[in-house]
Amino acid sequence: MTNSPILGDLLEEYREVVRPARGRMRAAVWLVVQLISLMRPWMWGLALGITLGVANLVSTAVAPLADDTPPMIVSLGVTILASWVFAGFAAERRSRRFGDAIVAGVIVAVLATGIFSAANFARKMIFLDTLRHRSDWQGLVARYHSSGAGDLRSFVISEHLQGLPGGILFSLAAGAVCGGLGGAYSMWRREQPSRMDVT
Amino acid sequence: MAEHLGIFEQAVLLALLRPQTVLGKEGYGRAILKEVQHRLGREVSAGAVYSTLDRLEAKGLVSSELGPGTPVRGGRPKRHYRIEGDGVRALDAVRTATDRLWAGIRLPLKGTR
Repeated sequence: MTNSPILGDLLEEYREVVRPARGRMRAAVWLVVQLISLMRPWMWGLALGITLGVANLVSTAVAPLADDTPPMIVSLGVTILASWVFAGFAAERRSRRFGDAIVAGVIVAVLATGIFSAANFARKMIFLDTLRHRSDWQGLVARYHSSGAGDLRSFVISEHLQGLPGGILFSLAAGAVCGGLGGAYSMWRREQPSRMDVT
Repeated sequence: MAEHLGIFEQAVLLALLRPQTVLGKEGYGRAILKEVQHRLGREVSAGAVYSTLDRLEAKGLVSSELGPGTPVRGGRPKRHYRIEGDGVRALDAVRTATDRLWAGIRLPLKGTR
C-alpha cells in the first residue's frame, strides 16, 4: 500500500540517487514503475477497470458512431494483457512466490473485466438509441429482429448478461496465464547478474 | 512456539538489530531497504521490504513511529522502525535451530557424485 512515508522514501531515492545517475526522463520512468509496483493487485484492477470503463464511456459520448478500428482494438488488448503480466511480475518480485503472480494476474484481470463490463453495460443503456446505428452493431440488431424479442433494450440486456460468464471465465484464465508469464519473467530476471544501481 | 522467520524476514530484522551501513542506522524504510540490499548482496524491491515490515509489525516483532519529514522528501514523514523483544527472541530461536541443524557438518560440503 502506498502511503506518505513510502512516497517520501521514493522521492528521497529519486532525488538523491536515481535522477543524478539516470537523468530526468529515465528517473521519471523509474519512479512511475516503483509507484505501480507498490500497488496491490486489487488496486491495480480497480484503477485499470475504472480507467478503461470511463474512457469507453467518454469516447462513446464524444463520437458515438465511430467504429472501433482494428489497430485501436489490438493496442487496447495488448495494453490490458500487458498490465496483467506486469501485475504478476510485481507480485512475484515482491514476495518471490510464483503462486502470488498467478493470483495477482487473476485478481487484476477479473476485477478490471468486471468493472469494465459494468461501465460498458451503462454505456449501452445510456447511448442505445445512437449505438444501434453503428455499423459494428448491425449484427446484434439483425439478431434482435430475428429473435422476436419485445424491445431492443431488453435484448441488449439479455445478450450482455449471457456474455458475462464467458467474459469473466476468459479473464480468469487469461489473467492466470498473464500473471504466470509476469512471474516467470521476474524469476528469470532474478537469475541474471545483479544490477545494484542503488547506493 | 517460536515464530517462523523466512530468510528475508531475518534480513530485515537483522538490518534493524545490527545495521552495518551509515544510512541503515537511521532505521526508516529506505534505510532498511539499503541495509537489506547490503546484507543480501543483491537488488531488492522496495515493495518486498515494505510488505515484510508490515507483516513483522502485525506479528509484534517490530514497531514503528513517524518522524519529521525533510525537504528532499517533499516534507513527507519518515516511518522509523525498531525491533521489539519478540523480534530478538525470534531471531535467537531461528539461529539456534539453524545451528542445531548444521551441527557437526563441515564446509565445504562434499557431493556424492
